[in-house]
Amino acid sequence: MNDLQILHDSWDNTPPPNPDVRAAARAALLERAAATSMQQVPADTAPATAFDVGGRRRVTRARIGAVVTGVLVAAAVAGGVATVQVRDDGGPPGVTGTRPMLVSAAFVLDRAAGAAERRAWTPPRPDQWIYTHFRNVPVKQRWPLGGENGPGESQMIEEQWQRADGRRSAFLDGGKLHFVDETRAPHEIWPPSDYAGLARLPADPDALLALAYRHVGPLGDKPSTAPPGIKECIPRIDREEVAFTSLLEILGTNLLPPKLEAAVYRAMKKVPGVVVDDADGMIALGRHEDGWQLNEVLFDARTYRYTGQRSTAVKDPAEVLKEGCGIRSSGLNMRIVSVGVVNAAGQRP
Amino acid sequence: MTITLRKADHDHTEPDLATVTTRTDADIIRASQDDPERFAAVFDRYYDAIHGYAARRLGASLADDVAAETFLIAFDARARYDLARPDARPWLYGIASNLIARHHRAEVRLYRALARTGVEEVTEGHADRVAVRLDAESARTLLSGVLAEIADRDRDVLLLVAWADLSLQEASEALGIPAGTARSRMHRARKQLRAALGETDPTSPGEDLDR
Repeated sequence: MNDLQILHDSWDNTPPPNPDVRAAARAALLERAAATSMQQVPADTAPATAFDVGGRRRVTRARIGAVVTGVLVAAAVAGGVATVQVRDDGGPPGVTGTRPMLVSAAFVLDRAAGAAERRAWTPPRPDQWIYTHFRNVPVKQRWPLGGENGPGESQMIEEQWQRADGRRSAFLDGGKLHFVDETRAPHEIWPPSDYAGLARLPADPDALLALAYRHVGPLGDKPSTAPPGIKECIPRIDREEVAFTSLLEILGTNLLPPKLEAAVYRAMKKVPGVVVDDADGMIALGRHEDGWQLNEVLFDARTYRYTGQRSTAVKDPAEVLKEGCGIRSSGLNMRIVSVGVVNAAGQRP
Repeated sequence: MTITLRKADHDHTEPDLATVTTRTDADIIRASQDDPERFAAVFDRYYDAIHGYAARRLGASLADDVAAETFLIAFDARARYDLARPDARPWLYGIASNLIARHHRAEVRLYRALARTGVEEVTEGHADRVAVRLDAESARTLLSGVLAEIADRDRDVLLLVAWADLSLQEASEALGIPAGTARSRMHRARKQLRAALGETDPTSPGEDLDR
């Protein structure tokens, strides 16, 4: 037997891929293929710009300059129960043991909180960097998000680093590492997106939610500042919406102490209007925003781990714009590929 | 899966399943230019193999990411696939190799861990270490230690041949390097392998190192 044969045979008993993982990978491929056949997002000629959203960098292909945010249209919120494929036998991953089950948002959030609390955890040192690898996943939209006045297709920069003390961040763009020094102190930003700021948040769901509502405060009571002739779209910001969005943004930072992550899920349980749905084998849980868009957290249907976020237009954004209203944000559809702690920006775990 | 069964819209000469299943990878990739979902047939053919390759080099968890990402990248790049090549494996393994290279520290850690595991077993279980023929387990222990020491680019060539079952020529295509370069990297890697194996269990000495 020669050396290559020995090398080959010595690793012959590598276990086959987990069928669930295989199915998820296949679904991701088909999702991308379906999105490609749709050709749904027209390419915009505007140059991509990077800007800061909740401390994590996104690029967007088109943005509107409208100042006024929000719309009056009330979201037609569907019932909070959906049929979702979940594992119910507690057994090892496999093709057996999955069956459709009626689940509520509360059920999903309880499981997600439990899964977060069981996660192994070592806090990063202040000088360490948190690496986040996102994948942008195009999602079929009924109404194109591009176009002259459209909100554009929002995307995450796929590989990012942020120092745990929140003072510096970095991202890869075109193969080059760019550094950004954060000018604002972490505590000035709500919700915090750096580890230091997150670690100071209360891990009690009620206290966390109270904090989220407190930040809605002045927005809700602000008098109209719209110039004459411009229709003020919404006199009061929906406080539940802002609170939920804050919780969503906290999750989007991706390296949370387990107790805080669990608190986010338990706080979400207390926000009215949360809906749950099946999303190609994942569980999607979210809330309508501005009456035209559904913002959802995605969970692995087996482990209840956070796997990403997606936004879906539920109403033609052009109609919202026609009413003279601005649209705050646009479809962000991303999955978490990996998150880890490294010693320097540019390193991968 | 319906994709392999469905008749191509633009190909009226495609009469039955037998014909469909014997299509080359290049045929499928060509068809997927117009009908993207047909690319799933490439996934169905090679996902397990790519995953297995990545799992040997990085462990199951990172392999999950690498294998999924390999097919997404391949899908995005399918328009640039050289349709003159019927077998897509070198292309796919090339993509996977690039992704694996991002984790080279994790790879080396894995080999070192495997090498250590074996040592512990030997010291606890077999006080009388005699010159026995290598079983798969102890060979793996020994070879893991060697793999951790082999230079990254040499290891890429070696493992594409030993674990992905590519020929040396295909490995050079996968990595986008000249065949001669692949040969010399292979030669270096095998010298290290044979040195390690030779100390324990000499094999036929006259073998051609380049296979």
